[in-house]
Amino acid sequence: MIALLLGATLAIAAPQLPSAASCPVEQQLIPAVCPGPPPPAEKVDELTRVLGRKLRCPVCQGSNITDSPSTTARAMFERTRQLIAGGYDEEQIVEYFVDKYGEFILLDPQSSGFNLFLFVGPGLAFGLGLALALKSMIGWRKEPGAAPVVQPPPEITEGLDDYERQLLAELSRK
Amino acid sequence: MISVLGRGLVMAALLFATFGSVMGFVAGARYSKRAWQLTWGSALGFGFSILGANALMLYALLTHDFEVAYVAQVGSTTVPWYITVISLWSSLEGSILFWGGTLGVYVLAMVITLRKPEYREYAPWTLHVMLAIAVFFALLVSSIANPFAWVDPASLAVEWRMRGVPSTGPGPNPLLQNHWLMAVHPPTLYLGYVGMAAPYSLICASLLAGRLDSGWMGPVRRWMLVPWAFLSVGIVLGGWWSYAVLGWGGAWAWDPVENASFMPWLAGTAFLHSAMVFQRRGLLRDWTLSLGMATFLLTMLGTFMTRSGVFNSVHSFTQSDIGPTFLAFIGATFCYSVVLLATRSHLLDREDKNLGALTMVLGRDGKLSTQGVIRGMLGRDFAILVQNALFTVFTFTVLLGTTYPLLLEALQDRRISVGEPYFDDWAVPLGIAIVFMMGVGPALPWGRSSPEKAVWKIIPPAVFGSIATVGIYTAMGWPENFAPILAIWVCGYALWANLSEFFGPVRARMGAHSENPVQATLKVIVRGRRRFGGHLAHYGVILAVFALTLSRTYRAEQDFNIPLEGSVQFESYDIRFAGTELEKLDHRDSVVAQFAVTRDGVDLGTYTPRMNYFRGSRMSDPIWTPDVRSTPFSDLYFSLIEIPQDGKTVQVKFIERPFMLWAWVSAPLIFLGALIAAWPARRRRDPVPVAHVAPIAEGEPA
Repeated sequence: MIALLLGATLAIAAPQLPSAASCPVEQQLIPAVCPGPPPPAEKVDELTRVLGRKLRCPVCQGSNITDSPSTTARAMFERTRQLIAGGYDEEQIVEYFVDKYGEFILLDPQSSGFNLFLFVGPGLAFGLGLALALKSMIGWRKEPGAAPVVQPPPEITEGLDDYERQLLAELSRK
Repeated sequence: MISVLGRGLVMAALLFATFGSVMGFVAGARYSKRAWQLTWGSALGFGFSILGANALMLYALLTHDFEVAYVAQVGSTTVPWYITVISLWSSLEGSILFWGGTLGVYVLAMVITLRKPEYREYAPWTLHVMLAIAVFFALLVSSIANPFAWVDPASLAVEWRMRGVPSTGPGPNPLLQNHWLMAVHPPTLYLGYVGMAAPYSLICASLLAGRLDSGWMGPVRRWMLVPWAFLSVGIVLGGWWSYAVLGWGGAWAWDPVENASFMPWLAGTAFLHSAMVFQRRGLLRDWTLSLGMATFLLTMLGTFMTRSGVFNSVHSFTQSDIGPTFLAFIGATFCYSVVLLATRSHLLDREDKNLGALTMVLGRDGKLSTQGVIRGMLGRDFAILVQNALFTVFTFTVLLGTTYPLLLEALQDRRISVGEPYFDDWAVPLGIAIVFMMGVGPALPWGRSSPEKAVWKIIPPAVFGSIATVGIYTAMGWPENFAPILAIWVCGYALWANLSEFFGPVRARMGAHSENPVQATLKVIVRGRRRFGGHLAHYGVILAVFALTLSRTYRAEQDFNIPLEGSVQFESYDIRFAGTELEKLDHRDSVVAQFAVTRDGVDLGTYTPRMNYFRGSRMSDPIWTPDVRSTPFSDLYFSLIEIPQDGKTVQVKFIERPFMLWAWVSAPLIFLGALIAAWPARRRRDPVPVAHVAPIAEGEPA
């Protein structure tokens, strides 16, 4: 309680600090960034694991910090858990780690600037394919059935619909 | 001695490959019988000498002949003999030699396949291309990646002492020694990767020969199916290995090297389907050929990614200067393929003696689709076209995501990552759409169907899918996201659609030929091997998607810090930490943690996740090895995080994943399906033109 009051007075008494943060300093697990309301305690583990899967472990380079057994990844994972328990949201935590380790640790790359190509590329490819398909469809109605129709003897096909007739034809090939 | 002999064999292989490739060209261009005999002989010569070199390396490994450079690099007298055998592919030089050996197997298989008289015009061209690929690998093995170099024992002893390697030898990579799957996963994947050289060569042969009879598509398709089957199994085994060894409880992480094996699989799958359209309808010819060529190029890219160390991932233990050489080869092969397609595909338009009436609709303009032939959206042709579009976009997305960080680093010197979240965003909707199409294509007839009939084909599977979804999620609890719901629905849908496409003909046969159900089923399988094989492969993929969806949606995991003899509750399990034990073997020491597990009072035995220390290994860190037990309903997974020195506590992660086992069961289904589809039909004296049957469904005017 005393600490809280002290923190509050400090925050009031130090308006010249560069932070726009309007919360007690000891709540600021990330300097000059204020947390929001903390999540319920039983959800912290799950939230940490989910967020951890979006962050790359900088030393093992293949895996995320939730799944990697390396010391660095464990430490980052613990830090993430602290921050989440302290009430920080995903955006703040991600920014904190990017400041520390660089863009490299984002397994889900930022969708801005040059990177946009990553997100537009597959769509472009799909659009191109669709355009080609449509182009070929234009000719459909023009041409009558070019291929010959081979009918099996009528005594077998009596009472069958087209589909069964085709199956029959396929199956009774020698 | 072995060094000299090995070098000799590799040189002989290089000589045979070079000579045979040139002779193949001559034989193809001039129809010279003499040249063809020389080509044929050289192909045999290459196959046997490169296989001989592999056998010799095995002998050197087993006799621990440390005068051979590769043995000095990976050999150890303390490891069991079977690990010595598999260390043939544990490091760069050995794996390139093994690559060559596998190519040797496929070259010999081609020699046998191509001896039939009807392939006379294509055979020399095929061996010409295949042996040209062999030249590249023989060059690698004889120069940059020479495993047979001679090592002076005295200087080796000095080097080992300086690096702290025991006098028994360094031994292969610890990850390779840690699990039996490493004895199976690499060779299977290699059989898949290297085998793609066969369909590539067969396709090039038809372009070089300037003709493509419908008869030639038989071997092309078959030799795509064989490596595709191995590639499928190799990918699943790789996932299984990752799950059983790496300790994070997952099978697939979109690691660049995993992607490297997935891309040719996607392209190859697209090829197998568009090849059906081409064989049945004479459509999509150039597109099909391009897909087949792209598949091989992607396997080369995959080999490059795995073996050059260009990505720092778990697989790239082998850093080397082999990268640029490989990249040059891939570039050259790419240019060659494009030029070949661009300049020679129009020659294939000439009349095909087997296709008869269909020649008039062959792609004269070389466009993606010939006008007026795909006659409506409600036909199998169109469904396969959509399937092809989905697979191509999927391949492109994986390629883009995998190579983009490399390009960005090269161009802007900016380091970024593209990982699981990005790939999942694309893979989930694409995967769902693909499984859905799996239940559309087989249900529609070739050509065109009427809307009413098509709707009646779709409704029963859709109803079954809905029942399955509601049933499963009512039992397991509804998930928050929509994707798993849709995924299970498409699985049920596609399963029913394929099953009814199988049992429909059985019923038709029972009616028309008055056969009993067993007879009719067998006849349908035997007469429609390709159809049945395709269905089996579809069931395999459905099973994998089903297992991965549920095992991921209901994955439960929790970290614990347990004191000695302490108990915790995880999901429905009661787990007691019973202490640690030290296990000493010749080649490794292990710290084994023991957990007694019970569930509802039933004893489930002792789980023993462990830390393995491999002697003489280049990696000094221990390998954390999880313990997994599977039941048809769920897997329980124990993975150690930390054992403090005093052994009084343990930090451990427990994971439960329902239905995980079924993801691995998919592999034999796909493999079997592909082999059944590839099995050559009995020879018919008078081949029925493939066009004979297809158009019937179009009989009625729309």
